[in-house]
Amino acid sequence: MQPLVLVVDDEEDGRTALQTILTEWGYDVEVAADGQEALKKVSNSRPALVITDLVMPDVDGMSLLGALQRELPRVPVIILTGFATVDSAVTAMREGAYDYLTKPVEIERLRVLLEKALDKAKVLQELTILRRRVKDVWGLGRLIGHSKPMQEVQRLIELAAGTAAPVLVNGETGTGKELVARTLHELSPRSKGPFLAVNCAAMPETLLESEIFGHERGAFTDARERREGCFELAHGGTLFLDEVAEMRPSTQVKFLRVLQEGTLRRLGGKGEIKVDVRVVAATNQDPTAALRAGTLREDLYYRLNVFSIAMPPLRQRLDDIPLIVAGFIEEFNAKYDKHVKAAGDATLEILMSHSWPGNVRELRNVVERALIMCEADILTLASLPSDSKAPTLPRYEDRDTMTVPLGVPLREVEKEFVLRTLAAENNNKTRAAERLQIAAKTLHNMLHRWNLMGSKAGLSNGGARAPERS
Amino acid sequence: MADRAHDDSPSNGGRAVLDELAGLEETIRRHREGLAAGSWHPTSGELVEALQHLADRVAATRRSVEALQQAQRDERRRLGHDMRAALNTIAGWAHILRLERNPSERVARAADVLDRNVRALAGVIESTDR
Repeated sequence: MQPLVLVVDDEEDGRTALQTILTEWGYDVEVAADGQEALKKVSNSRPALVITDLVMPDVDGMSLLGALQRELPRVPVIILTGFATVDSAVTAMREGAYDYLTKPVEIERLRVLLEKALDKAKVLQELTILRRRVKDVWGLGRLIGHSKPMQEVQRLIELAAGTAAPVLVNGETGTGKELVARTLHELSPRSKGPFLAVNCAAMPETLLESEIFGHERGAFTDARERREGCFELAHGGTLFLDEVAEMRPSTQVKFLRVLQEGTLRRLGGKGEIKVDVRVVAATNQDPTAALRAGTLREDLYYRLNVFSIAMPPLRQRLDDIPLIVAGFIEEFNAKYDKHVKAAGDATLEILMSHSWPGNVRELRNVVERALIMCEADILTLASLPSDSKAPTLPRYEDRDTMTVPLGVPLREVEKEFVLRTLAAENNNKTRAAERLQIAAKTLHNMLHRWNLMGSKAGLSNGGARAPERS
Repeated sequence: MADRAHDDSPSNGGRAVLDELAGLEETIRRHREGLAAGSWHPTSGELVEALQHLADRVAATRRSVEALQQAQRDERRRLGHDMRAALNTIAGWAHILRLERNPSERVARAADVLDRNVRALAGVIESTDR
């Protein structure tokens, strides 16, 4: 199949000439008389390349370019124009045009340009396919895991990545909330733009406001110079705000205003500054609890909660540990010039029986320390730090039996026991409550307390894991 | 191609500026003759007022000239754009003539001539763009 080229020009004679030439060169060609018609055509047929005039009625070439960048960011666009000025060329290139030719076009130059653009598009497409394959092996980017909770996280990330909507990520410390934000950024059309991360809990409130919104000279005692804030620096990209519920309510109001209006005012500034930033906010608190406690403003929550991604704690996806550990071994081998091939089965077994209160970050530290200590090519029990060897989670022998080593905290035993019963009853809460001989309301309250209400992923995980261990 | 706006075209603007200059010359001539013939005896205040009036008219004429220059630049830009678009079409069809499998000598020559003249005219437009 020949690549499809869409030619957009309001001059019929010029359009037909280009169509004839491109057809002669072996391309499939479609034509449109203006940007409006072109947008209709690209929604039905997916061109490999678009050649467009700049000056056209209704939707002109620059608007068409903008729309194509949003709809089909990988499709190269070549602009043809009768204006020989540099400013329109610069604008077109900045807006993402592949190249820009002045009329009358040198036909051979167009031919070379077309071939180069299509080659580049093909390489980019192959790269995307390759990335997808890598993703199939490792998970989504650096978010490693095949477990059901992670599959759900990956599905949500893929859904959200193509949009500019704000995303709220919640999860315990160390679950990888920043990784979610980075992955969202890398998979989004903004991936070429900047990614900035700010921890709202890590600095005093006045400094935080200045960090986020910037300040004018003299805005406060130490403001000796004008400073751009993170929103301005992240223009065209993504801003990750961690621990957003730690923001003072007055700062949250300002933050909400930027989200709603896309403009901000620096501290001590008078003018409004327009910014185009995708915001990913994160909290390690249950957002609804933060709402009730008044630490998170309701209006900001609803604005941020367009997309909500809950990062599962590692104890709910223990089956991902072998893959995660393999990834860390590869990373630390490179960092410490080691040649460890893998973790031994017994080592993985121990790691998979730990409750990991510090989640993936804790696991990372353990693997890093073990790898430094390891002198063989297999990561063994001997190299594990002693505190990670103590089993803290119940172990399962089969679907209907649960064996608990002594020393496991009672609350964890209770939780696992309830989740296992639920899984055994295919997540039917009424039957699970009957089997546990507790009121359905009590079970409901337990799930609510564990933040598992409405989270099918969290519930089904318990069920999915058990048969694999049997 | 867009329709031209006739009312504020550079040629009309040029006539208006010439009218303004002629009016200025006429006023200066009347003042000079009045002073020479002794028929106009302005006080110093009246003289300052007359000179200020002339200075205001000169400033207004300067603005008209600047607007005219801008209009001429825009017109040249628009003309350049329209001519480039037309040349592009001619160059495209000249190339199509060459795509014939066995073009006659006359057709091949026509394509060459069209091509050469397209380039020549494009060069002319480019020199006026500068």
